Amino acid sequence: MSTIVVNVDPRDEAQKIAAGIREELGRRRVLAVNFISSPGSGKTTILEKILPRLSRELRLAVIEADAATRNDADRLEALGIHVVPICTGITSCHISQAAAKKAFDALPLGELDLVVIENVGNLVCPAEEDLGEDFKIAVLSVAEGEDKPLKYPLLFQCAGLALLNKIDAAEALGADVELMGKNVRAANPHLETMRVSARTGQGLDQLLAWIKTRVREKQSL
Amino acid sequence: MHEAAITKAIMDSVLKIVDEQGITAPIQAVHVLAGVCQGLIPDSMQMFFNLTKSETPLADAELIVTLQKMVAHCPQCARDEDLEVPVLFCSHCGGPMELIKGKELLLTAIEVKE
Repeated sequence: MSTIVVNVDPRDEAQKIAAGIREELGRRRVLAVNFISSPGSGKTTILEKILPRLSRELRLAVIEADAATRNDADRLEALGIHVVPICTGITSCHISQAAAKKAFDALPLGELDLVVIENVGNLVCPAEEDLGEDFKIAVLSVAEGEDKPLKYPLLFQCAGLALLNKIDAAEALGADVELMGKNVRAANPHLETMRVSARTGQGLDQLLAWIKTRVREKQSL
Repeated sequence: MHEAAITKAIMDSVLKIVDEQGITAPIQAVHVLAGVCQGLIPDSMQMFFNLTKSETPLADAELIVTLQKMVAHCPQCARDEDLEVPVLFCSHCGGPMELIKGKELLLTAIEVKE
């Protein structure tokens, strides 16, 4: 028996595709943000609220992934948003780099300021999948339980912003928002956290300002 | 689902190496190091591996997954701490720590019959 020492990341090939996307976005100075959460945390509802407002100032498009159906893509298209849908199929748990590349290629990047990726609802698999985006935005609804950042830390370690959504329902659910925020900081002490409610609009101004600032930063590079 | 995609990538990487290095001897084992933060279940990875390996150079191979626990470093105290739960606040000074182990995913080695 002989042992061949390899020490390679099995995702190297996929990461090369992601690096290619990042380079293209950098050249065109387009910001890309990747929304990740468990199913039902409110990603699409947040986007329904913020994208019409953002589109008054920015040229934007959405890459919308779902394991099955194109319900989320339909919801955003109904608002006049340019959407490229990806149906990953129910045996796949996240957007692959190859699927992301195809979606980016279908967009007129030269005419855009912002691409929003809405990933498949899943707290584990998309967390470290680099799609060439500038930032991952983790969404956690207060209904999911305060300890989720400790059970699924990878997403919070990879994210550039965390949103605690459905904040309007916290009291009715008996959710301890302070503890949830503390657990997010425990998983990543440097992560900025915002409390939002897609339903009431609470905190969305702050989220819009954050995204617009990141777009301006990217354009001034 | 997660395990299937990752294990497929691991198998593809091994087959690429086998091809590039012109390895003809039977492969007996594939070793993987996975940080616990990756959330991978070794049993599920092995199930996928064993279900899909037939009629490939990996037909007689076994997938061996070693889980890497979390280790964090406190820059203030210049010390490392083993973690059971990912609380990145130093148990000595309370300051923020950096996770230095527990996120990795590596195909570490391939064992072939002489």
